[in-house]
Amino acid sequence: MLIEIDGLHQAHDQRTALWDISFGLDLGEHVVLLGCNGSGKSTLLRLLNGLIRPDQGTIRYDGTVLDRRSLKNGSFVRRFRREVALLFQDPAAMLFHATVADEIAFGPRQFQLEDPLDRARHWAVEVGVEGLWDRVPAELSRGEQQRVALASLLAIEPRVLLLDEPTASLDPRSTGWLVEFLLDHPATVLTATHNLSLATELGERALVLGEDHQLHYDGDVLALRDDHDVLLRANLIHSHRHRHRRGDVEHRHYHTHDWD
Amino acid sequence: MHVPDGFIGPRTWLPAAALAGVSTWFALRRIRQTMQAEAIPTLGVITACSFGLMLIAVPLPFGGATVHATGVGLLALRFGVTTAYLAIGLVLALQAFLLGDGGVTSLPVSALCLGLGGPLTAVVTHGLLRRVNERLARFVAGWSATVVAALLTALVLGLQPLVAVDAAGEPLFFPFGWRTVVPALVLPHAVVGVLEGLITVMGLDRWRQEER
Amino acid sequence: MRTWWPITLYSGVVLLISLSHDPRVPAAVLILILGVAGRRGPRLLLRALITTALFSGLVTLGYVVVALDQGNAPWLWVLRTNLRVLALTTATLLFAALVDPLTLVRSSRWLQTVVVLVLAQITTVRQLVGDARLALLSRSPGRPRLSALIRQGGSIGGALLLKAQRDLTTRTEAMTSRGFFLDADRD
Repeated sequence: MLIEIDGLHQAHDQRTALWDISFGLDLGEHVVLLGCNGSGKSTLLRLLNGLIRPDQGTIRYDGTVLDRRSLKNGSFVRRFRREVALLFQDPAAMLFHATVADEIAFGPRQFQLEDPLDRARHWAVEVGVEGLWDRVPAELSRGEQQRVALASLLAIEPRVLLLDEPTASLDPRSTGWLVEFLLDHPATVLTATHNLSLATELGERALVLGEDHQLHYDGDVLALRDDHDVLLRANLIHSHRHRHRRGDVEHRHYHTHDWD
Repeated sequence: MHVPDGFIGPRTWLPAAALAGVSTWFALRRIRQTMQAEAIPTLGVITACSFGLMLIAVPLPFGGATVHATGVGLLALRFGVTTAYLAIGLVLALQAFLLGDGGVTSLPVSALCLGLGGPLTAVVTHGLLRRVNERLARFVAGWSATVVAALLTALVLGLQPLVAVDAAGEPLFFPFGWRTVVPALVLPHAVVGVLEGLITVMGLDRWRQEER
Repeated sequence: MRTWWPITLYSGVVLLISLSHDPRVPAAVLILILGVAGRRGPRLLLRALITTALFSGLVTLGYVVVALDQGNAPWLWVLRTNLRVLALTTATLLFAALVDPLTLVRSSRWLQTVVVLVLAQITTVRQLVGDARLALLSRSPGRPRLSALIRQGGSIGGALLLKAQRDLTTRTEAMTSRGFFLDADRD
């Protein structure tokens, strides 16, 4: 296993954020982390990226436990930061350069990769932001910022991509682009989302975090779609009364309101 | 209140620029030493906060005037004098160079009076009064920061007729002495300071509530 | 290197106007600045007038009244001071229009990152304050009462502090995640 989590407990502002979480991620796996807002998805991703330390339990990356000692070890941290990349829910929070070019080239320069500017240009083209090369990242639309942030992470060719609600700020066309882009990506990808209808497109396996911050499901994403119990408990679907257009028929059924 | 360029002479603003430059250098060195590289996001975020605080405006019910807050009390009590000084100085510089709001030659004077004098006053008065009553201490911190900043500015302006006159003894820059300018600036700011004091109290109240 | 020319010229203009007491000097410089500014000249001059009107107007009026009362002629001071104020302010506005603020801090990567972070948040911060103001207006039957305005001012102040705290956490995490703090020396 590339990433192993065992018995993770986490509190945030004296409230439970995660409770007894255990799972593993293999190299090259694409996994969807589903959960409604407040279920602990972002906290879990921050833990996996070594940005916060677990209150209880262990997280191992490639055999090394992420703790105070390993995260102070210069050579491990350097390797870890290059190999595990986190795309934040608010892409603007990640951008701090004067131009898109500098933003994307920052990673390659930071990790002393060859030809940082060429790499940056390559990934700008891959992600479709080469037209924004000289623009100021802060002035871009949210969707454009999302792409620039993604390009900035991809430019260092990480082994693991942690994506926090990557489609939340994207229009349908950009969402389609992202789904296609991730489809055959060789990295291990863990995508956190509450968008059930996209889940089957973003991975083969699904993890579901409930409102009680525990793991309610770890298995095939297609099988999850039919498991109404889990989905209801996790507040990923709802049912409400509605009228159909033809006639006066009124009924309820489970669905989500995301486009399909 | 921004003093435009042209009212403070180079005999004042040149040494003020040197003093502001040196004190800024020391302040930067200090936060880089205490926060290391995290000084960058810290200063970036707090400066933006300071910018926002200066946007808080209360239209007065008469005369169509609007009073702007500075947030100096809030910044000083929440983040300390050094960070507040750097943040306020940077905001004033950005306002001058980005928006043309406020002079460039008067920038060092504004930075020292508002950015340094204000926070220092806030922290000192708060320290003295907090044992009496915390909320009173916060109010006085905000109020006195405003009044002292205005007083210091008035002292600098009132200095001009003494240090810069032509051969006939006529003022070359700001024409009024201390007897006129000190009450003219300090009295209105003593009233405006009430707003600042209230904002300091209520702002910290809200921050404390939600931060818990 | 390109930015050194505007900075040097601008500094030269500021010093020239400040050190000279002949009103013809700021007048000539103002004409030159408006010439360089071209079509945006009138707009810059108007902005300069608006931003300095209150302070300049009050001080000029006060000085004229006092001087006339004392039997002195204030006109040289009025001309010299107001031309100086306008020339300096217009020069700064033109400089700000021509020079990207980031280039002023290009020599320090540290400072440049700070300025980029500030500029990136200005719109959000403006929106926060603006939206709060509009929200109060939409909830007020008429003009909001002074007490409500003050209370709102305090609430906005607190909201800005909270936003700063959250933003700082998120930005520090994001910069940590991207390896920004790996090197000890930034410049």
